[in-house]
Amino acid sequence: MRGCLLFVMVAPVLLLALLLAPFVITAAINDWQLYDFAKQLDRLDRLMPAGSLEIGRSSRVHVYSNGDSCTFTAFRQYELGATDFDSQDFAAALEALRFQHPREPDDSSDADFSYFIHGDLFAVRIDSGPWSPGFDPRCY
Amino acid sequence: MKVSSPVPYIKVSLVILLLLSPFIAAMAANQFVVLELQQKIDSVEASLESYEYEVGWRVVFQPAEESKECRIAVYRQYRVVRPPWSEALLHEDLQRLGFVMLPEDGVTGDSDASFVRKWWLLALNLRSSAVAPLLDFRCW
Repeated sequence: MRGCLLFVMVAPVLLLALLLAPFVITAAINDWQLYDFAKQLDRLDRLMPAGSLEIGRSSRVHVYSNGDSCTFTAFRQYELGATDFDSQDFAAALEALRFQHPREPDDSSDADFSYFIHGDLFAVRIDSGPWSPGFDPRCY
Repeated sequence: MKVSSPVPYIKVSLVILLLLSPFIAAMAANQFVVLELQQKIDSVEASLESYEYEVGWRVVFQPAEESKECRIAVYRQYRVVRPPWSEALLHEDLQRLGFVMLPEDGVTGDSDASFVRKWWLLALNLRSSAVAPLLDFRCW
């Protein structure tokens, strides 16, 4: 009798966990890939002119294009400490940067990389996608 | 077995607390300044559309060695993509709230409330007037 009661209590929880598992696992895998993807922006730190200050960062998995798909995006913003640095050297160093996709691409392309400087604000963004959404609810 | 009295421990704790209290009070007072600055940015956020999202933020305590002053800077950035008519309203809102638009060659440090609006980014920068520097270790 007690075993039956235990089964009645545990079975729905197990069933729910089983149903949710694909969504939770896919989201966790995407989060891990996003972390690795965004971490590539750490390479900027050694390029930044002296006295620069990081003023913001974030990353997200989201729908960017039409239709169900996953896009990985990472942002980073800096306040440039000095305006008298060699902007041409800085731009050349940025142009030489290559960022890998969070997943294995069909071709040998790099992730999209864009940046701008406005006064002493420097903003960077990398994008990769669209990728198959799988079961990640953020991609629908 | 000798049982030690808790009184000395309480006394020591009280003395430590008494010694630390000016520092704690200074930190708390400065934290109110941070909250005030953040509330001002929140009022801008209220006029952003729901699909526009935050891409970074940072609070920085900025001690100035030469003047013995300490100021608090709050930075927040949003991804904002708007049609032209809505863009004009956003600029109006920001200017009404006291934010000065920084020109391409502007430096963020020139104004206490400034914004940069370029491409996909809206960057808001706020600086407090001088706060108590001596007792807040974040200003050291």
